[in-house]
Amino acid sequence: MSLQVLVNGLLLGGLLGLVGLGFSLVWGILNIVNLAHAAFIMLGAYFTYYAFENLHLDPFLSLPIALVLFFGLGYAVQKFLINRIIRASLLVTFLLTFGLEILIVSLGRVVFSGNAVRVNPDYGSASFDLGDARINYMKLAGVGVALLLTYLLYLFMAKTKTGNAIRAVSMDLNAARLMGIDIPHIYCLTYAISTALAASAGMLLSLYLGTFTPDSFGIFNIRAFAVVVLGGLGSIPGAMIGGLVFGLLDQFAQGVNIGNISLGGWKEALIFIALVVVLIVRPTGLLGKEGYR
Amino acid sequence: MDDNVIMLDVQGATKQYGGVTAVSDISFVVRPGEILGLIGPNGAGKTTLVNMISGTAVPTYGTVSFKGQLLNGQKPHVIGKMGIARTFQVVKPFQNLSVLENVAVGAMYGKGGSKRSSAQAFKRAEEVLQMVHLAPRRNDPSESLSIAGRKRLELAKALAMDPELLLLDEVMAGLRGAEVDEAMDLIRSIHAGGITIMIIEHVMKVIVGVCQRVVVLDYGKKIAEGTPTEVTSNQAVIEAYLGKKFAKSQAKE
Amino acid sequence: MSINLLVMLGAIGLSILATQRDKPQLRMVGFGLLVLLLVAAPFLSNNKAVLTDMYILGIAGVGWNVIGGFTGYAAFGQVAFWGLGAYALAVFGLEATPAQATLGWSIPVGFLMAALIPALVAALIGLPVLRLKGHYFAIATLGVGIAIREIFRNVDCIGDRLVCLGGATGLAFPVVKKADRDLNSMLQYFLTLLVFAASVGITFYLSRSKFGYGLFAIRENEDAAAVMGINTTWFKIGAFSLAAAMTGLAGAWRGLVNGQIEPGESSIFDPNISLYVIIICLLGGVGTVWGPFIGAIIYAALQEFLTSMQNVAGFGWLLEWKNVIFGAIVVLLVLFLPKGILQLVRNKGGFSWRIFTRNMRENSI
Repeated sequence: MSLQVLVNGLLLGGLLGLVGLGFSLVWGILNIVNLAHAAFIMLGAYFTYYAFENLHLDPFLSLPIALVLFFGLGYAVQKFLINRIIRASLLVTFLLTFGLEILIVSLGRVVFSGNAVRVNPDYGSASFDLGDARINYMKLAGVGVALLLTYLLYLFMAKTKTGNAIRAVSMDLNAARLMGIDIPHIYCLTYAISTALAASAGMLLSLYLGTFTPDSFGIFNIRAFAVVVLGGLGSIPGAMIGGLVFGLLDQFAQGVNIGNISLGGWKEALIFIALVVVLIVRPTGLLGKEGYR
Repeated sequence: MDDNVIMLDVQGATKQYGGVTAVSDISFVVRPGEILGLIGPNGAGKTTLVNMISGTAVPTYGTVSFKGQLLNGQKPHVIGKMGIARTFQVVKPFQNLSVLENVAVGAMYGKGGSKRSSAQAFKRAEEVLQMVHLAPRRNDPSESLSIAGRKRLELAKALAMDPELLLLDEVMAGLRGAEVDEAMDLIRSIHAGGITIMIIEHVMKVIVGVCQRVVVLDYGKKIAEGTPTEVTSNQAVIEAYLGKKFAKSQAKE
Repeated sequence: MSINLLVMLGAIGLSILATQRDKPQLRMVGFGLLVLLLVAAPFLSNNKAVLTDMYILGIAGVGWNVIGGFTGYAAFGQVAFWGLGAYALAVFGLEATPAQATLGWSIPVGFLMAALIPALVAALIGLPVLRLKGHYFAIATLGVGIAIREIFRNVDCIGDRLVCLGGATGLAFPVVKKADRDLNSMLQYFLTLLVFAASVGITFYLSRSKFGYGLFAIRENEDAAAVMGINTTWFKIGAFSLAAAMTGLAGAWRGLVNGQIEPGESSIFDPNISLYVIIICLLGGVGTVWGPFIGAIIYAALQEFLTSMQNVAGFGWLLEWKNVIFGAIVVLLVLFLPKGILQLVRNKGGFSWRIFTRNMRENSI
């Protein structure tokens, strides 16, 4: 493996970890597989784009605003929609979030149009050399932001009263209720955090992808699955490690040939075969544990 | 009853979950035609033992055999077809099926299931519902039943399997006075129909009322075995149930 | 209003009559008229293809109902079997040309394989995957759907050009044996209707059979089902295979009607297929015999309605908004009517607006 492949894998993997993080949070605590996650990523990317084009706001500066706005959006979605069906069967909750995904992405197609756009700050192509590898400053900063947000979430869950309440809900719902925790509110908070994380992943991906359309992000739902399954449901460091493993595998497979077969074409197939195998052999993932930490 | 014939033979059954031993080295037998009681305080390992007999748990050590055939490692459905039926302490009705359909599933797949058609199974289910006095509720959804009704449904599902050995896991729990008496009558009439019964309870009254022989568990170990009278006067049993202090004060008098 | 839309609305109304359990005479009349309507429809319609497509998706919907509705295992990767079916028909049914190597036995053998191969693959995949439960099963099947698409995208020729699948470009159907060339649109209509009706018939039989009750028991409580003597492993595999066979047949029809297949997301491996089949069941009523039938027609009627509205002056924007509306319908449906339209028409006290609010309250925290 060349140094460049390693670097590229880590740059992609950090973002994938962030994508998986919010997804894992909702799944682990609300027991909902949130197929609308990719839609919020898409909205986050377009928020970044419009802030940059119309308000000339640097992506890294518009990020805090996005976090606040999407936190509110997520809170509302949970309060008015998902909390209404949270006790229904898995199929129903799955389909609600899928309906939201279609609704938001198609709305995106209407409002933002299907034309590709790009967020292109002046420093976008600046890079430095490390040995044989060339590293883009902006992408490196992106991974830095992803790691920072992951660490902040970890601190929040471990150190704050609210974070502890969220963890209590994921471990034992009834006990949490008896302790006087406001469960619907905790659910809303959880979803709000997840949505804010999705939007931040959208911001970083808008820089990583170059050009994008409203349809560029659907793939990140299934990648989030893979990240969560690899890293283990219910683990914050697990999500990041799952993302990095995924990123490295992805970039590694890109350039490998076995005989005259290029592994790049088989990349997706291998990743999802691995996903299924991990599910069967070790359903708790590589780092999965009971409860949330 | 022939004392030398053994229907169910449990030898040294032990179950460990991780480092915790839920059931430790328990041996006893069930003879054809008897009603055996299995009692013990909560957490004594009664349900774990039933799980090992019905195949939903595999013994870590020891053996369980039924009519000479080893049950260790057999799948639950194989054991069900061999003629062992059980009820669940936490009742598990098929919620979206009617009362009759619930029972019919038992008649389709239990010991007598393979030779019955779907229609014959429904006919058999009707008979069983008559027996447990649920016939008027046959078309109601199973979730509309009261606790007592659900317990009887649980019993009916097991009975419809035409078992030789019926394991009743706390079928009395949650029932009120008169309901307990009705349920005891029901158990006696099932027994009169030729079915061997192993009844798991922590209510002493039930055991004394219907069982011929009793096995007592405490903290996963067998602490006594004998007739109901023998067992209720056994020092270890009184201690387990009422606490050591109480037992000592009793002994002094 | 298009004739197809009228046919669909009529079919919805008549099948609702045919599901009225308490009124046997009404049922017979409704059923009889429904058959008449569907037989007459291709002679009235100027665009039979829309109805044929409705049946094709309906067949796959009925298939999903067997595993997702009857057995309670929410499979989210049925497109795998849809695509496998299409390829099986192509490989066994198509005559080889210099451009593409296929076995070219005959179209009927092709269809047989389009049911058998997906069923076999489902059994092999199901053996490990059906041990998973809940979300994990759903995600594993989703992964299987993608993995199988990617395999077809990468495999070109097998065994020294014995069979070539065309890799990422896929296969074209135009060269059909001469004898089969008369498989025209009228024949397609009736054959797909027949397969659709037969698959509903199979699930009707299933819902009263011992096997069907075994599946219901697994759905309701797998542990209790097992101790009652049900071999849950084989029952689940049976249900998954049956679902895959139906989905494979549907996919084969779609390939044949389309005239070509390619392993792309916009063609025979469109991941949305996995979701459409579920939406169909949800619209009608998951786990019921008539649910996927009515659901398939409602789904097609919605599509047809939106399409026909586009041509009405002032409603051109609908083309753009079609998917937005579709998404909104899915959201409203799961919020207010998660048990499908059959819950409305079978409600004991007759129709009541309270059903909607009660459904929501039941699932709300």
